[in-house]
Amino acid sequence: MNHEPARIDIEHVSVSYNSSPALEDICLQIPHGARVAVVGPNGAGKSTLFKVLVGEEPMDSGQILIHGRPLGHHRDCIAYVPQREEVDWSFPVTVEDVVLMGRCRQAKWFTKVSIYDREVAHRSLEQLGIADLSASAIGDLSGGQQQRVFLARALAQEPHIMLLDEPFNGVDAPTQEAILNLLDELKVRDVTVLVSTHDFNLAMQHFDYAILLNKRLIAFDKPEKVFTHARLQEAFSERVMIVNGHAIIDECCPPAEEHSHNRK
Amino acid sequence: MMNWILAPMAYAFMQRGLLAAIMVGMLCAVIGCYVVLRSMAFLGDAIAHAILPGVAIAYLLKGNLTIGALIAALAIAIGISIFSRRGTIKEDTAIGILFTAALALGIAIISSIRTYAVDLSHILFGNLLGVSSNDLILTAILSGVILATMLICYKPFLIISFDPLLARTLHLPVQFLRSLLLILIAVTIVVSMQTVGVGLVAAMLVTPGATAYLLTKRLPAMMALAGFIGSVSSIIGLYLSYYLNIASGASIVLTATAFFILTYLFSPRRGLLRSWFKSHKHV
Repeated sequence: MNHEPARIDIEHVSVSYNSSPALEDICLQIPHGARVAVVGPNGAGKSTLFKVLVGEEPMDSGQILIHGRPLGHHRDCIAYVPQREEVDWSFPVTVEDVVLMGRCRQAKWFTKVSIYDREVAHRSLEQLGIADLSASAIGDLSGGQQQRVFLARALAQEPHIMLLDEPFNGVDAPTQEAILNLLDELKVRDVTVLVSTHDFNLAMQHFDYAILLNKRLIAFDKPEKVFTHARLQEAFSERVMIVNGHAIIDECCPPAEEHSHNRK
Repeated sequence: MMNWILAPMAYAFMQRGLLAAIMVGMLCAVIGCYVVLRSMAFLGDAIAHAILPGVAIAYLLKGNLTIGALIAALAIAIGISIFSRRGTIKEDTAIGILFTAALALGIAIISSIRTYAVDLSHILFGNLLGVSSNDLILTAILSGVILATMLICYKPFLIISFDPLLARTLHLPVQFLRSLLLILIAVTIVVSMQTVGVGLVAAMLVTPGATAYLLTKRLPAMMALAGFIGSVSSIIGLYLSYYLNIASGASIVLTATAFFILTYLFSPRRGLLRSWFKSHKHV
């Protein structure tokens, strides 16, 4: 279609919050159309990496090229699906309103929503299996349905790159199924997808590449090469247990929350 | 009854006051929906108080008070949006410092004027019965401009309020839109100065919007209903003020508050009674 280098280049990117490092010297080249799992413990910088990619978080150093051009160039089209906790679910909008927001490009501010936009929105909702909910207020939905609304919106943006922040967290089985189907659909459409998750077993099965992150880049490769016991231990430190040759992460209790968890 | 409604309208100043109150009530309520949804109530109150020095200086120079207020409001809106960009101190702290300083400056200037008490109370609590035809025209023009801008920017304002990160991925000019919305709110506050005064304008921004929020599930409906509640509160409030002989700004705000309390108790969507019934049904 075009002859530009079609990929994400992350070159020596470092980010810090109040002088404590969040990402240190990350270097990556993600090929176009790849499905990439971003795995790491809490606070490893997974969300930070995504926010840098959408230009929300400033970099201390380094640069990011998308299709060979610097970030923020108007041709980059990135859709970002935030973690469910970051959304104000009491906001008075319906499911269709949210999905149509994804169709509001720069030049189309004040124009009316076109019939084509509505069709795209409807198809996206159908793809996620929630077309029947389009007139519902978002606050009335279940957690899994809410997650699917935002996935439908990202799909309606018709992006080249999609970033999903912890989409599998606390969702029901049908939603997990819908997300996995969406990944297959995006593969067909040649969309590059980055998905952050704790669940490296899922990452093993459904992704072309995996990034193992803990502030530094520990590994970036095919999943089976990334998730070795040694590397998992490096990323998750003492919270990895090896049971019958399978690595398991004690992910329910980050050290700081251990106490309150025990009381329940 | 008819006589009861018509009697105050025999006075031209009451007619002008009523028209101004309806326009301002509606305008505040509509833009107030963003104030409610973006949790800017404190900011709105701050801008309202911060226009005092502008008014005072205009008064001293014998200039137009509205224009003085407008300049001060724009300065403070731009000041806050610059302040809130750099996160050196928390935004509400910055606002707290800025607006009390401006308020103090305003009082300092006004206290040097001889008719201090009367003038100050007009600015703080409004002087609806002193609305001139020129004021009315200016109010109508500014209201029209603000509502038209809100209509044109409906989609981007919705997006920056609901999901600023999406706005960024869509390459919308987030900072510009945020400042524009702040400026619209600042101008609205200036327009309201004469009807409810700077002391009570925050109520007209927040209360009808909050009432409508309890009753609706979409922003356009919320805005329409808020505008309706805002103007009805203004009408009822003005009549109460005429017959009970109380300050008009106060009676308008109290009417709007009564609507809010009723809705808070009885709203079919998010009311207190409904949630009470829901939680007791299963016991």
